[in-house]
Parts: sequence; C-alpha cells; structure tokens
Amino acid sequence: MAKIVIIPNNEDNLNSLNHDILIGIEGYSVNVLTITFDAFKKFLKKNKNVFVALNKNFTNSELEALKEILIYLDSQDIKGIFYYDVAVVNIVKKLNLKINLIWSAEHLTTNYYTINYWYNQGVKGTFISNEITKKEMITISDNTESTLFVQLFGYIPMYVSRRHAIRNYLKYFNVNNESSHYQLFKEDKKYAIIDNAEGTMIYSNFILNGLTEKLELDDKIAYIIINGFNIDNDKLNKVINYFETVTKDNVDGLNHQLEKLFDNLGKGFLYEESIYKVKNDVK
Amino acid sequence: MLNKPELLAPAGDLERLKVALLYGADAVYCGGPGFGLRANATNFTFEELEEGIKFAHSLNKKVYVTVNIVLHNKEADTLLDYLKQLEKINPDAIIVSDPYVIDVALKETNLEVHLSTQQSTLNYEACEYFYNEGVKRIVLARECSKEDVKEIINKVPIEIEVFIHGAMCAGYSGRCVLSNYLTNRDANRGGCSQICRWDFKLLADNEEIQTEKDFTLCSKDLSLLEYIPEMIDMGITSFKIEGRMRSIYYIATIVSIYRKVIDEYCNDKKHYKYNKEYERVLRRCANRDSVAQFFNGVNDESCSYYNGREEISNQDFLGQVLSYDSNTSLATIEQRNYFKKGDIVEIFSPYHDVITYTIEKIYDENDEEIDIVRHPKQIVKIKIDKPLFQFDLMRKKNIDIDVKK
Repeated sequence: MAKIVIIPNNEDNLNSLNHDILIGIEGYSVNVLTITFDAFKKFLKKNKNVFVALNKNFTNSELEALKEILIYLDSQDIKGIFYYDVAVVNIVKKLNLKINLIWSAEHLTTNYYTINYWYNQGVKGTFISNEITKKEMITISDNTESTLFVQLFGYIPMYVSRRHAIRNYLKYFNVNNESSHYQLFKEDKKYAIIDNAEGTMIYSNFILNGLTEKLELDDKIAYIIINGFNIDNDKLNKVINYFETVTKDNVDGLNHQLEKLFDNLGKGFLYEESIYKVKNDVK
Repeated sequence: MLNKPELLAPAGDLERLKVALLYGADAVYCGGPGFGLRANATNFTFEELEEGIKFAHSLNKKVYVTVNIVLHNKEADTLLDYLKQLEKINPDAIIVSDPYVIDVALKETNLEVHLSTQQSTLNYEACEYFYNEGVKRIVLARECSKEDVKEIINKVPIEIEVFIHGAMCAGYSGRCVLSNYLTNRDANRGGCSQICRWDFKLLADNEEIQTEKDFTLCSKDLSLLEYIPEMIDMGITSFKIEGRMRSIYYIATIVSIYRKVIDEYCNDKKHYKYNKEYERVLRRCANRDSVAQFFNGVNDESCSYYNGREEISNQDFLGQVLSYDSNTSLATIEQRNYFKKGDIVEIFSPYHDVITYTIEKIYDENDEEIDIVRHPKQIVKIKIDKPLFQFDLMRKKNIDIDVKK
C-alpha cells in the first residue's frame, strides 16, 4: 500500500504532523512550505521522516551554498531530495554523495523512458507529473523500478517564474498592498498566486481529489502526496485521515465528506488527456 | 578580424528558411513533422526538411531541427524511428529538451545534439552535466544575466547559444502549464495558448485591487541589439532569434539588421559605432515593445506589460517580389498590405542595397493598369528600372517614424 507524504501548509501544521513530510529550505525551494536552514536543522533533530525539496532553478551564485546544503543533508538521516535543476545531480555525482534523489521536474516527468534514464543515472525516485492520466501513471509504474510519488490531493502548482509579477504590477501602478493572500480571478475562477523571494508561483483553481484513484494506484505508486497548500489544518487532518483509511467499502462516503469540506474538488488530468494540436496539419 | 558568432534564425516553413538564410542567417532552426514545440505551426515534412537542408548546405549554412517536446509514454515509443529518419536527411543538429531523447540520439544515431531552452539551464553545474553526457551546445534559459553567461562560458567548454531577439515566456520554460489547465492545451508539447497574455483581476484577501488596467503576466519582448558587441566579446557561440511563426518580412528585417551589426563589429571593432537607425527599424517591425530583459540583471516592472494591449499590427510590409523581367522592367509582386500608385516605398534585398522608389505604374494579372492594390496576396506588376530579385521585399518608406517613440 502506498505511503502518504504531506506537504504542510504552515509551521504549526508542520510541527503537529506525524507523517512523512516534504518541505523546503528558504532560498532553495518553490511550491512547498519553506523554513530557514537553521530552523530546518532543528526540525531534523526531532523528525526522521523528512523529504526535502531543493527544487528551484539555481543560478551560478547559488551553487556553492547549494553544495554545502547537499553535503549537510548527505550526513543526515533524511528520506530524499526532490530536485528540478540538473545541477543537483551533477553536484551529488561529483561529490559522490549517497543521498537519495527524486526527479521532481513537475510537468516534465511524463514518461517511463525518461524516468528510467534518470534511474540509470542513480536517481531512484520520481515525482510524477499531474498533467498525465491515471492510465499513463499505471503504464509508467509497470515499466520502471523508480520509486514513484504522485500528488493525489490538493491545489496543483501550474507556474513558476523568476519574475515578481505582483510586486512589479503594484509598483507600476503605485499601489500599496501588503496582503499575504493574492488570487487571480477570471471567468468565475480563482487561482492562488504567490510572489516571494523566488519569483512568482500560481496554483490551480481546484483541489485535486484522487481519493478514489488512490485505491487503484495503491500497489502502483510508492508515495501519495497530499498537498496542504491553502488548506486549513483541521481540514487537512481530515483529508489525511480519509486517505489513510479509505477502502472500497467506504470510498463513496469519504468522497461525500470531502465534498462537504470543499466546494472546488476536481480530477485534473486523471481522466482527460490535454491536447496539443488544435488543427490538422495541412500537408 | 574577430571570430563571428553564428546568427541563428527561426524558420516556420521552407519559404522562411530560404528567406532567413538569404538575408544573412548562418543557420536556421525548424520543426519537423513530429516531436516539436510548435505543434500548431505549419512545420516541415521530411521532404521539405531535406530540401531545406540541401539549400542551406549549398550556401555553406546549417539547419537544426527541434525535437524538444516533453514526451509522454506513447510518443516515446516512436522516437527512435523518427530520429533515424531525421538522420538520413542530414540536419546539422537536433535541439532536444528531454534527457532520454539526448541519450537515444547519441547512442543510436550520429546526430549532433543541442539542449533546448526548455530545460531552463541557468548554471554551470547543469551545463557540465549535459556536456559530460555528450551535448554539443546548450541554449541557455532566457532568465540568465550576462554575468551568468560569462561564468558558464568560463567554466564549461561547451558551445553556448543565447536568445537575442523575440518574444519571452513569462515563466521558466517547462515550468508553466497554465495553458493545460485553462485551455486544455499542453504547453510542453507545443500547444501553448499563451495564457500569460491574458488579463486577470488581481484579488488581495478576496478584494479586487483597483488600478487603471487589469493584471497580466505579459512580458515585453527581448532585444539585445545594442549588446551584440559585448556578447561577441564574451565568446557566445550562437545568437538566436525567436519566432518560428513570424512572417518572412519580420524574419528578413530582423536577420538583416543583426547581420549588419555582427559584421560591422567583427570586421572593424575599433571603429564600430552603434547605429540607432537599426534599432528604429527593429522597433518598427515588431508588434510589441522590447527590452534587454534579464541580460543586465534587471527583473522589474520595466520588463513587463501592465498597460493593456499595446500590440500593434504592422502594415509596413507591402509585397514580396516573385520575379523580375529585365526586358520589360516589370517586377511581379505578391501583395501583403495595401499600396497604391504614387506611394514612396523601399525595396530591400539580400542582393542589393535598399532602393527607395516611387510607384509609377501598376498592372494587374491581365496587364490592365490599376491605381490601387488592395487584395491580400494579389499578384501585380510594377514598373521599375532597377533589377529586382526573388525574395526581395517591398515595405513602406519609414519617413514618419519618431526615433524616441
């Protein structure tokens, strides 16, 4: 049966969870809860079930510090590092670190051929894209030894930019606004948008609910990720509980409970392939 | 004389491939019948690619073919056959983003591999990884500053390609799937519907922020014209122009201007002087404002559009010369925008200097004299004493341009 990994929503939440968690380190991570490196070191003394996301795009000036962090993490008992930038693999190889790497290129982890390529490079885990179907996930699982992770609950990250979209917009129009909760709004849909030191990130307007699919993917996927972003702690705890206790017999009831908790649940691309050719080639 | 960097232009089809090369590009990049990131462009058949490659090689120039899609399982199944077919027609390289494609291409074919900007490569460690894998060249992320580029060139002995002109992604290439979620079109497989150019309301704590204009992620275009000398000195291998879906007029204009700047600087560095007139021509040709973007380490509001849609439809391009009859002094022209008798126009060419000319006589396909050419793609003849050539282009004479615009 798949294990559950939680991306916490906030530090209270982080400290109260008794699960495998995925967190980031300030300056090195996007799309997860981040804490300072010092706070992380303290946290690690008390918690052993930690995956770390070092998943931003790194510039040259950040590489030396990244190297130091990787060396530190290699000496600690952590469960693995989620990376996006190939620089992480190169550093780990050159330093001959034994740390467990998880390819986490978000939207690019879409086929088992490339997953196996990375596996053969020593990357033993993959965080599968949310832009593929459940069927494609199963095909991947059937054709790889890689330890697979997939997000089956929560808002889905859709966009990462180095630009500071909100800060620049407010500055351009000379608007003072100190909100910590911004959203884009169009056609009755709201999308959470964050502008922080790493740039701009945007999330889906719906909460992916793959509770039913968890049952089908249980023996195909090693880790199911519940993303706590923008979900309050009480609700998140209920969601975790549902995912831990779901069976064929109670899945309908639990889904009903989820629908009562959230009015914006969706299935994303689990059953729908996105298209990429909107007109026939004229040739 | 300095070593000249490669000037690399986009080619959406065979005509644009020829135009780009004739107007001064050293190489072009284009999409084949599959596995490219412009699924909704016309793209090339294998036969057209072969013809284009032969044409380029006859000029001692190069063609790179994009194979930069993010693969799904079923596409990966047919990859090797596709690469083998490409290998037979002898492109100078393929441009790839997926490491599996790199692996297959290098192990199973003799194709040279360039790493696509879709990998968003920003640093020397990532470059070193791909260099060790056998990649010949890396197209750096457009988020790189000049300092980033310099350091990479100093630390990794790999060819570096940098975008110098054209549209920008608002997000990191590969890290934006807004198109997938808002329009069900897969951004990483060539279906991007450019959500970054949409307008949104921006809410703060559920309240709309009131400004003169709605929020957008829209970025201005990139233009590094004035930094070309500095970039040549940095040792960048290839200067890339974006825009496989742009018109032949756009490509001819942009390529010819950058060609001039590269040649002028490399041929006589000591006396090189930046020509503001070139900038004016580029600006006139573009439909959006352009800035240096991240090149100078700037990442502020000056790089983005916040003031509504400022895109303008350019109507300078009047027609393309199809042929010239030296016996009758008649040039056959295919119309692209309205023009009429008495208009002062410019004809620019890969073969001769710009000709400024007042249109005196126009004839339709039945050799009847007409005053106005108003129909798109209408074929007409104009009387002109100076010989013209196929692929010469006719544009408005830009006598009314404000340089300070």
